[in-house]
Amino acid sequence: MSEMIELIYFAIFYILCCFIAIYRLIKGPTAPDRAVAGDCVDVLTDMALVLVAMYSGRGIYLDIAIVTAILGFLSQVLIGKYLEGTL
Amino acid sequence: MSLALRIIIDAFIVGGCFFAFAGAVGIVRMPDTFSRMQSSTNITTLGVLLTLIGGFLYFLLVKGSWGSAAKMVVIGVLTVLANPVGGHAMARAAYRIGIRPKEGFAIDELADPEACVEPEEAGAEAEAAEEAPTEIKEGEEA
Repeated sequence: MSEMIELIYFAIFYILCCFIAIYRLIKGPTAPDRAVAGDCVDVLTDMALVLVAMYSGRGIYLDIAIVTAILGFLSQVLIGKYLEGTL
Repeated sequence: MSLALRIIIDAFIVGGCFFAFAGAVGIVRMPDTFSRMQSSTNITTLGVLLTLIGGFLYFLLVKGSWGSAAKMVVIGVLTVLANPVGGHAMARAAYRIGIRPKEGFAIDELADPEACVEPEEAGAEAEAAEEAPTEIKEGEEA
């Protein structure tokens, strides 16, 4: 139901939060800083996709959000093991 | 769609937006790496869960779509289970490559050499412990 037009504004707010995290992703002095900021961008994009799915009423965005959640977890664990040297 | 339901759903999503904004600001403003990791968990717990509860109520009560509501539950369970594991791996990696907090540790369990034995080293030590008694037995026989 597209009567709830405020949902798209919440999605835009999440994308703006993404840009705040991207600042740390660019500036971050060490590799774990950048990895954590990248994971935050991943999760925030996830939530923006859920809100866009609620706004537009199309379920395909939810599937993309599930895949993004799984890939964010894998990337964080793999980058952590790689930095630790035990990969 | 009743107005009360809409207000409830919006309240959940606004709460999620608040915690996500707090976490994003914390990532930029916190002084050292471990504090930034702590602030990032703000996003992945309360920010995600409140937004997903709002979405669950929206899909279930407004849309009447059980499939989309189940996908919300799947996303929430994945995030809650996966992010502590990823955060633990990342904090351990940050310790191992030499990053320390600004004001020192209250508890430093990874500095204990027995607490952070690598799997290969543990296997080697176990093999050495198995080999040692056999040598003693051979010496007794001789």
